[in-house]
Amino acid sequence: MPALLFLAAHLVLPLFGMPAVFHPSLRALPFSARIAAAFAAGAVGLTLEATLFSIVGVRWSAVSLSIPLLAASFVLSTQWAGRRSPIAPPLPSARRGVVAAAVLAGGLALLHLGLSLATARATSTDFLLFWGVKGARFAVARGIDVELLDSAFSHHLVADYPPLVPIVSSWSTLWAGEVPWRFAPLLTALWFLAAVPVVAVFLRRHLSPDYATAVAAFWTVALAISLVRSTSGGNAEGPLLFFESAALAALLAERRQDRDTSRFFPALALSGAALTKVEGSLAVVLIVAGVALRDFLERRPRPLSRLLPLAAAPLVALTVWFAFQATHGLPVGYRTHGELLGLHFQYLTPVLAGMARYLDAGTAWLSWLLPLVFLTASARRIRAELLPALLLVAGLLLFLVFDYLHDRNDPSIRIGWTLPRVSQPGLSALILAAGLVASFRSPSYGTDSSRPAFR
Amino acid sequence: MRARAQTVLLLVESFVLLFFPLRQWIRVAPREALAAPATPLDRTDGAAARQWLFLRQARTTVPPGATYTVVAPTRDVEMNLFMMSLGLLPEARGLPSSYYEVPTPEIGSQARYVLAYENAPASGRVRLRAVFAEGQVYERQAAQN
Repeated sequence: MPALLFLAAHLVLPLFGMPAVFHPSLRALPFSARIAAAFAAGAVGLTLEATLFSIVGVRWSAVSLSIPLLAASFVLSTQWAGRRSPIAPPLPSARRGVVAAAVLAGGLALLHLGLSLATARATSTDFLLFWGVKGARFAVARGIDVELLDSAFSHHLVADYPPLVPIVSSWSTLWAGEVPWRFAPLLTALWFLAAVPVVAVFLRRHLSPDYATAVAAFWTVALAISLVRSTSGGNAEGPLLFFESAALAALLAERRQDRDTSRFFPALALSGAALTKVEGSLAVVLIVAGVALRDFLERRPRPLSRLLPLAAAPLVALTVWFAFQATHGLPVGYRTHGELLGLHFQYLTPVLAGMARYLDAGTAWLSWLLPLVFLTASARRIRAELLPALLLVAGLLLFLVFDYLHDRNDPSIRIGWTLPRVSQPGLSALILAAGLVASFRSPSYGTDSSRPAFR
Repeated sequence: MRARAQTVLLLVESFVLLFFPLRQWIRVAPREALAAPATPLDRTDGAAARQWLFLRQARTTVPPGATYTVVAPTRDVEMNLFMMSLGLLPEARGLPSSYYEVPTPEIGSQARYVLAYENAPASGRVRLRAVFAEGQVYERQAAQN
């Protein structure tokens, strides 16, 4: 029973984020992608609300957290549903054979992920050491548990980490009465499942329906296998992968000549990423920088004013978290990993060797190599359009080298623990970039003026 | 034609990737493959799974609001148990007997309940409250709560 209630609490999140379903920029998307957007909006909305409650001292309960969100959701949904959205012809479908093959491959990968999580083959240890712990304790404290985070024995709880995952877990624990420890890791599959239609639909804006379907299938298979390989069940990797991939896919789908394409959804997803993990903020910086550079190099219209919501939304979200820290006497910001430039270059070789070894993604490196080979073979066609994705891949990997070089001792063991999971957004970005290169080859569906315009 | 070939190639590559999980599942005995786990760590960390099982049973002995500590034969196991106990006993208050292998007996000795993993000795005047395959739970006689 607690497991069912825990699941039900997650399934309620789209109700909180229902305005996303009616937002004019998303209304033309398939229902599955709009529900996924509502899921993202619900999780972000809940996190902001719960953090604000803890700032002002309002106790959390299933009712106290629900009522303001449902009211706001109703009002915004009504307003946005009344707004006109540009008429967009439906996206053409892929051929049946391609869809069948993609569904089979993606379905098998999801089955592998689901079974691995359900049978405790992919549970993250961090889920039991701090992600789930925070969720359980916050639910008992009916708010963000300052006593726990401020305790002399909380170093392992990484108190500075942003609050989205513990808050969503705590919300579900309020429903269930307890954390269903064996079941909860399975919800990583739910976050991943939410990402699939979003990635697929945005790919179709750029690529022919057949090719977009094939890229989405490869993305699904590679990342599902990687989530199992990296034992990401129950930790923050599933949500982070969802938010970062969704934001990136939406931004890559923007067309050069677009003047007014709404950045509501990518801004929302980037806010989710910033509230999920510290690395999420790094991804925000890299993606926003990539978009800025792309828009500038391609002389896209209104680059600065269009960049503003993309940078401002995650910043506001993070400010709420830092405001909580400030108002409760906690150190504000993120804990550094040693001195900024205190690098131990004697470990450069083990770091690079370790990274090469542990980027296997559960597929003997093929998940990385195949898109990399494709990108290399298409090097002459790489354009500024891919910068948001390429900057994320390169920036993330370089950051990880930088981070590992801070270790005073040989970081090989830590690389083995962390790299398979923290590199996953980079793998996602690489696959999306490699997939999109194909659209630059010839005047295909992607550059055809008959392509539907989404605004 | 070229686009079609690319589509087919990508789909083939997707199925090639699936070979790796398939090989993994084939190696598992059919009965074992889908067996429900007793703990979330059954198939990723057997030692931690046993520790988790101990805590899950021990938590029924520790009342809400009570203080407890965890002791184990080695400091690293003790740390692991302490970290997991904070989630498994969210209504109780954990007082570590060591933290990251640094002994903190002055803290742990204040706890009313002692969760002793694998026959680790419990200090002070204690009364045995529960026995499990993985360890025991003691209650300190004249301890503060």
